[in-house]
Amino acid sequence: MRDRKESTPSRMAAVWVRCGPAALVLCAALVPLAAPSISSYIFYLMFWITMASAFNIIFGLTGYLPFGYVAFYGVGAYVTAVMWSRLGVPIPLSILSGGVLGVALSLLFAPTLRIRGIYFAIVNFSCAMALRILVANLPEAWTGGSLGISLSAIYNPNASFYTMMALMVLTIWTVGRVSGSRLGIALRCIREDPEAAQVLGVDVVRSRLKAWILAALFPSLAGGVEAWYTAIIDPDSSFNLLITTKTIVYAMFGGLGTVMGPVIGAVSLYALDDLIWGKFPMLNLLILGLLIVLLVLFLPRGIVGTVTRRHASLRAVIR
Amino acid sequence: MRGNSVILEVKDISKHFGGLTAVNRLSFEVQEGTVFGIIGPNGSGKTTSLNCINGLFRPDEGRIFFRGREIQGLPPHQVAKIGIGRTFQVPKIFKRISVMENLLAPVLSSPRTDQELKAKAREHLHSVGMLEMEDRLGEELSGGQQKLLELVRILMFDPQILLLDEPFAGVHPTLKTLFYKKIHELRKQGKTFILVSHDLTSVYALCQQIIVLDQGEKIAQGRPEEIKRNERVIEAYLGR
Repeated sequence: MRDRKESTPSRMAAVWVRCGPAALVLCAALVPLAAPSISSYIFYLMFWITMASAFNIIFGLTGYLPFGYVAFYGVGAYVTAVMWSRLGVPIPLSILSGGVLGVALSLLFAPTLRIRGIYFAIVNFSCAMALRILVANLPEAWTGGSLGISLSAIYNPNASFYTMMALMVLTIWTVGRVSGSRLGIALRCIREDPEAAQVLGVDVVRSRLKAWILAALFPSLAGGVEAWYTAIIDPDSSFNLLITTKTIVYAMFGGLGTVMGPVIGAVSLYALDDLIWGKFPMLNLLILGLLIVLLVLFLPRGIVGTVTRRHASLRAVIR
Repeated sequence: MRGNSVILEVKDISKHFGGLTAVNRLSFEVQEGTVFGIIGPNGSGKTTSLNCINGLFRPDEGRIFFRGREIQGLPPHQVAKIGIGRTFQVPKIFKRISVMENLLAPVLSSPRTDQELKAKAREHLHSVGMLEMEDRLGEELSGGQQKLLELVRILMFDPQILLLDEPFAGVHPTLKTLFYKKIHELRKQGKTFILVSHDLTSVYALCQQIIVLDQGEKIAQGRPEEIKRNERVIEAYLGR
């Protein structure tokens, strides 16, 4: 349900918004030709953009904070690794299986959507932690126990790089489509006031379930692609709470509920995070914690949310 | 306007919250095309009654019929779809989405095109003098404008009954006049209203039939002139 008009002051922004992402993707496509460190940097940047954008569907648009969001990533990584290493399924199909299992997991967790706010966050976090323990205690013949699974035999950084790029583009495109659609309006209404949305005829249960499934699909696929790229997985890194935390912070910093927000948030904060990690490895988490505090205090709507609030003419362009 | 058939029938509904009886065996009928008032002191069960009608609460006892169809227990979104719209005492505007998106919210499942729906939304905005505000966020509207937006928002899905909960509370007299005008205009088109209000002047001016609640029970029913003279009503309001 995009609107028709575009005011004069927002034309520059419109050009940036329309051409910028295409130019970035084009540049990124050439990255595997560069040094491995640059390739790795861009791979993880695309990974975080995918995670933050997908997270935006359920938190930014719908208002549910899944604090155990890492569970989908972890399941995607493990299913991919198990399917390939134990069952001999080709890697593309293994990654897709991870996506399917991630969606199945979201359906299993779906009843928790009846609760909201901090209660939902805590329950979701508990589910993710339970899943981590379950995976770590499954027979070693399947999951490799605490040592995890090696995928070194199919290590292919270039193919996994381009797969992540495709996934990132697909995620951003999906978020854009959902945000501009009737479903997007329904989700924003649910985020604002589910009771009022119901009274107006919005099918809250069905709409939020669609959002939840979409929000689960992309991190599950991303988990599989990242497992392929790194060629090793283990329970500690696949179910690391820091993945949820960073996803939330990146999405919030850019602007929840907007399409461009999580992209801008991931690009700017990942660069900062990388810089801090390189210069002050011991202080990385401390600085991340401080950043969250500052973010909540001074930029609760994120970069895009703050800019569009102050400049109404940009709302039609930067979504 | 249709004839004076019963459009809504509430039969012996009760609603309890723990040990508190919010509504006790309440019954009334609403004629189509009329404005039906529900008044009573604070805590008398007015809003709870509306919540039972539009599905936000499921009555513990009793039945509710809309055009002969039993509706108690239906979820709110289905009650809306069969033609019952609702506004709230504190307007439930979606504050971080635009006025236009607020108006489109009730018609998201409509088979009509987005352009048709937007044109209809603009007509409604024009009717209340808010056409230039379609791109504003809900939070950028004044309290009165939010009430107006809430009213025209439910008109988007063309409900047959509008449940208005305290539409005049905290509203400027000019805006109140606009509300009156809108209600008269819609009534002429055949719409039915259930009006919950503490503003007795407005209730007496607009309603054809009024019920009075006190502590969850109906203590009086009649035309405005009858209610004004009713001893139990005066006692309930003034505590004599």
